[in-house]
Order: sequence, then structure tokens, then C-alpha cells
Amino acid sequence: MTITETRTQAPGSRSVTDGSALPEPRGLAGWLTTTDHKRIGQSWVISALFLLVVAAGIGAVVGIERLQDGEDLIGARTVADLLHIHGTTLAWLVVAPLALGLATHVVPLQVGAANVAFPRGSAAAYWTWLLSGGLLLTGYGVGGGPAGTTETGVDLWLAGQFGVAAALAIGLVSVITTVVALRAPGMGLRETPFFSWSILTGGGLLLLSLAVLMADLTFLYVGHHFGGQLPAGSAVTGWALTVPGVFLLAVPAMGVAADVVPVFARVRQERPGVVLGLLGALAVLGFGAWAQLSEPTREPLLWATSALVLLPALGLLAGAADTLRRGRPRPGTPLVWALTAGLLLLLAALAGALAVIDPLELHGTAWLDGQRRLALGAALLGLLGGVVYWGPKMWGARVPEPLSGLAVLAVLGGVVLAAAADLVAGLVDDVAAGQPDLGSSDLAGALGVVGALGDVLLAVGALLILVAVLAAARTGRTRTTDADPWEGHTLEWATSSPPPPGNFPEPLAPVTSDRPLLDARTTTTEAPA
Amino acid sequence: MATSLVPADLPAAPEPSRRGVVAVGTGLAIAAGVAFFAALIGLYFASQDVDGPWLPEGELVPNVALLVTYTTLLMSSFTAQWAVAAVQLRDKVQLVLALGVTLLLAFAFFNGLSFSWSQLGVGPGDNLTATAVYAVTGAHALAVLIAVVTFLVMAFRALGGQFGPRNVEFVQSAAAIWHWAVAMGVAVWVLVWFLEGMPR
Repeated sequence: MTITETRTQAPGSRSVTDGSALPEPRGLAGWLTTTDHKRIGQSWVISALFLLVVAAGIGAVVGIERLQDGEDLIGARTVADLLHIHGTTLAWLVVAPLALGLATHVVPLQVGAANVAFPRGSAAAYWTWLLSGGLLLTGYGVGGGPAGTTETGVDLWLAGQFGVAAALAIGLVSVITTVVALRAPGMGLRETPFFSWSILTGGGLLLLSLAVLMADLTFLYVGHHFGGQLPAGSAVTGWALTVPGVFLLAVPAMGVAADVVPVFARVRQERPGVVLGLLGALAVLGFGAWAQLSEPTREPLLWATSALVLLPALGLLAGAADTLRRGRPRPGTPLVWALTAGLLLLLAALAGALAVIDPLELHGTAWLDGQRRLALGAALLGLLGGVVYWGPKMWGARVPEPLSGLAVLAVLGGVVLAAAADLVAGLVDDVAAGQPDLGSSDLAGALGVVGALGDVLLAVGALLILVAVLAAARTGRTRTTDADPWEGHTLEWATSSPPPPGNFPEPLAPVTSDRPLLDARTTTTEAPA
Repeated sequence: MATSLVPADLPAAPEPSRRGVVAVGTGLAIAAGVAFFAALIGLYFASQDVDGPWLPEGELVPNVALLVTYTTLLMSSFTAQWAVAAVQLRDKVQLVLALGVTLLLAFAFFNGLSFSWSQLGVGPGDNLTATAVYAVTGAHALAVLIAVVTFLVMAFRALGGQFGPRNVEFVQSAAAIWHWAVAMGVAVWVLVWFLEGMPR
């Protein structure tokens, strides 16, 4: 057995139905020691959803605190810390792991592989992320953070972030290698499904970005641990969540949307090469690791990349609209999640393009906080749409549509309202980024209400989607669902829901197009009686 | 339960080869490693002379010791590749020799680097440039340690007979990681120590 195989695979065969492979242990031991990519993916997704509720809850507390006139319930310093926790948790403990979890579960199915390339690596990545996430949050809790007051707290905070980044990087190596080296025969890169392609391009550049982030954290750790304080320029890690770097997290979400829209339009994607190109362009333009200490309004190249992100965002949304126009759309919440994600991405790109226009003086203001909310919101909506769309594959049951529908409205409304408050505060009142309140003008009160409402709505939406997913997981234990409830176009729908060990019980025929199941369905329909 | 939607008369595809999986994964990890050190060295350049001269008055960079240290590391690249060749030839004696010399050279590198640090007269947190220098060189020492661990794992498996001329992917991967660590060492020596140690 080579290092890349696991005991769930019978050597020389994808299927374990002949009984020659060792079964995985049941119960908790099974979950703790699993190397099945489907279980690892589920672990990522469920953990990320729980942390979404935590992050959204923190955001709601901050939003409500901003409403208080007179005596503060919690100090301004604490509010600033909570804002930082909210942003960090949302990006690295919710959005990124949600993308990686979906990728770990879905990518091998989409490309026709029996498992991820490095199953033990993927498992190690998940547990490292979980422990490091705990360290990170503990670090905040014992006085850590960028304005931390205790040495131990700041060290823990830095070490936790490093561990989270390293874990995400290891997980990305595994899924990217799966796309590159384990595609089904006949599936070239042009035939790769859009979500898998977005993991290859966006995930690849995110891997490099995470390496750069780890370098920044190493520098900060050495300076703080040996020197007693964070080195000057401790904002060096901020580039990851500002224009244009923040868009990298939205690339997998757009991959989800690109897969979902043609299925619900019931029509073939007319120009798949263009969609692949737009996803790649979004990834390239979203790679901001090279411009850590630059100001977008001062550096021409950074200005250009921040503004040009508008083009692939517009292109993807226009392509989706065209696909829907050509097809016979049918209702379904995955489509709603996908379209709202595209819309928010366009708004985020527009806000980012405006932020780099020097005369507007938006850089460094709360406008950037709002832009970040929109970009992360776009990523969140798209990825949650993926959880709903691939729900049958993940849980063996559809995520309940009523709950999913309410959740998408709540999350969308929450993100838009909260972002609007920040955008207006930055534009009108020149409020600085990351401040505990939205200024002191007459408008600040109204903005506070809008922002608080948005934060609370997001928390409600987070709770709704978590409940919906848990309900689906529970239903899937007792009932099976159709293998292909959406009449999907790509290989993952060619096997049962959920898939068996080894994913495909029968060897796959050579893939001849980017939509093999749609082709097969069309051929079967058109075959003479 | 799904029935296959693929027409039944199409022949099944051959089982895809898993060759190249380790190579691709190693390539991705090395790319990330290069980005990591590029960022650290960039931070070093950005921190230069921010707090004034980073070494105390009268202290110099121990150029001789550093040149010997990093040359030792460079030599270990050749012995690491010698180990790969020994595995392919299934020659255990050469394999043990090559591994032993490689690990000895790595130990000599750690020894030389720690001596050089002790000669600087400045600690990691004393100023911004010192922090950056120690961050870069310390991270590189850790990278060499990772390469050593990978090599040791490979060595045990090779001595156990798990690798041979037809199954050498992991051996090549371990050597590639070693070469990456050495290449990063060359970059660190040139961009940090050599330029820093030049007379002003």
C-alpha cells in the first residue's frame, strides 16, 4: 500500500464492495480516526456552521452595544476587540473552512476519484484547525489580540492563527492535488467542473496567500515573544481581509454558483471556457499577498487590481443571467443562494473599486469594513448554497427548503444592512475603520440601528441554516433520498446519495465533456426506442 | 439507489494511475514554502534601518562562520541526492552512508548557525531588523529540521525495503524537500547574511 492510499480502499480497485477492505470503526472512534473524505468534509462543514453562529452572535452583541447611548454595557476597548474577533472568526474559522470542507467532500466526487489525494493529511488538517481555532479564541479570551494586554494571550493568539493557516494550507494541498492528479480518464482541465476548477485556481492562490500570512505571523511572534511587544507594523496581516485580497475567499463560492445555475436553469452552460477564465481571473486579481504594506490609492498596480475585480464579478453575474434567460428556470433555494452571492460579490467589487479612488478619501474608513462585510457575505452565501445544493450527497437528505429559504433571506438581509451602515458611516462621516462606534453625528444613531438589525439578522440566519443542516443530517440517517434530486450535470450525481465507500461502485466510463451526466441524459432521451 | 446514467455499451475506463500524486503534492508544498520565505525576506528588507543600525557598535556579522555553515548545508544537497540514487540501486550500504553524511551535515549546519547567532551581540526582540533576521534564519532552521524529519522517515522505510527502482516517489519527494530547504538557505545567505555582512 502506498502512502497515498488508505485502508478503506482495496488495492488496485476503487470499490470496496468485494469486502476485501477493512471497515472503519463505528461511533466516536470512527469519526476521530476517519480518513474518508466525506466524513472529514462533514466535520469541517458542521464545525464551521457552529462557529458561524458564534461569530454572528459576537457581531450581534457589538451591533447592540453600538445602540447604547450614555453608559456602555461593555467598554470601547472590548467592543474593538470583539469587532476584531468577529472578522477573524468569520474569515478563518467560518468561510475558509466551509470552502475547504465542501471541497474535501465534493471535489473527489466531481472529478471521479475514490478519495482525496492525501486522506490522512486532510484528517490531520481538520484536527489541527480545530485545535488551533480553540487556541486562537482562547488567546482572545486571556487578553490577546492586536491590542492585547497579556504576553501569554498575544502569543496564543499568534500561534493559534499560525496553526489555523497551516491547517488550511495542508487541507488545500490535498484537494488541489486531487483535482490535478486524480481526475477521471478523459477529464482534462477544460472538462473540470466549475467548483473543482475554482478550488484549483482560487485554492492554489489562497495556499500561497496563507504561506505569506504564516510568514507575517512568524515575524510578529518572534518580535513579541522575545521583544515583549508586537513589532511596528503589526497591521501586516490586514492585507488578507482588505481589497483585493479579500476576494480570494469568494472564488470557491463563485464556483458553487457556476455549477448550480445551469442545473436550475435546466440548460447547458454555453461558454464553459469563459466561465473557467472568469473564475481564474477573479482568483488572480484577488491575490493580494504581494502588496502588504501598500496603500491602494498610491500604488498603480494595486489600484488597478482592486478596480479590475469588477470585471470578472460582472462577467459571472451576466453569464448567470444569460444562462437563466436561455433555460427553463425552476425554483429552488440553491439557486437563490447562488444568485444572491453573485449580487453581493458585484456590490463588494464596486465598493472596492470606489475605495481606491483617491479623491473620495474612503481608504482607511469604515467603508472598508463595509466592503469586507460584502465580500465575506458573498463568499458565505455562495458556500452555504453549496451546502444546500450538495446536501443530498453530504447528509443523504435534502436540507429542508422552508428553513433554507428563511436562512438565505436572513443572511442576505443581515449582511446588506450591516454593510450599509459601515459604508455610509465611512462615506458621510469619515469614521475610521475598526472603530467601536459609527461616529458621533446625528446620522450615527440611525446607522447604529441599521447595523444592529443587520447583525442580529445574520445571527438568526446562521442559526436557521445550522438547524436546517442538522435536520437534514438526522433525516439522512433513517431515510435515503434520490441519487440525483436536482438532475445535476456533473459526475457527483452519478452515484448514490450519500455515496458508498470508494464513491463509485462501478468503474466510470471515459468522460467526454464538461457536463457528462447532461450528455448521458440527452443521449438516453434521444435514443431511438 | 442510482442506476448508472452512462450508456451501458461504453467500455469502462482503465483505473487511473496514482503516480504523480506525491510529486504534485510536494510541488504545491514547496511552492508554498518559497512564498513563505519570500514574504519573510521581504519583511526583513522592509525593516532594515528602521530603528538605526541593528548591530551594536563594534559588532560585525560573523561572515566566515556563516559562509562555512551555509556551504555545509549546500553540500548536504549532493549527499541527499546520493541517497536517492542508492535507493534506486537498492544499495543499502550506500544508502546508510549517504543518509548518515546528510544528517551529519545538517547537524553541523544547526551547530554553525547557533554559533553565529551567539556572535551577533543582539537578540531577536532588541530591534526591528534583529527581529526580522532571527525570524528569517530561525524559520529556515525549522525548515531544515522538517527536511531532516522527512528524510529520517524515508530512511527507515527505505531500510525496511519499502522502496526500490519502481517505487521511488516518496524518496524523490523527501529529496525535493531537502533541496528546497537548501535552496532557501542559499537565498537567506545571499540576501540576508552576505548583503548585511558587506563592509559599509
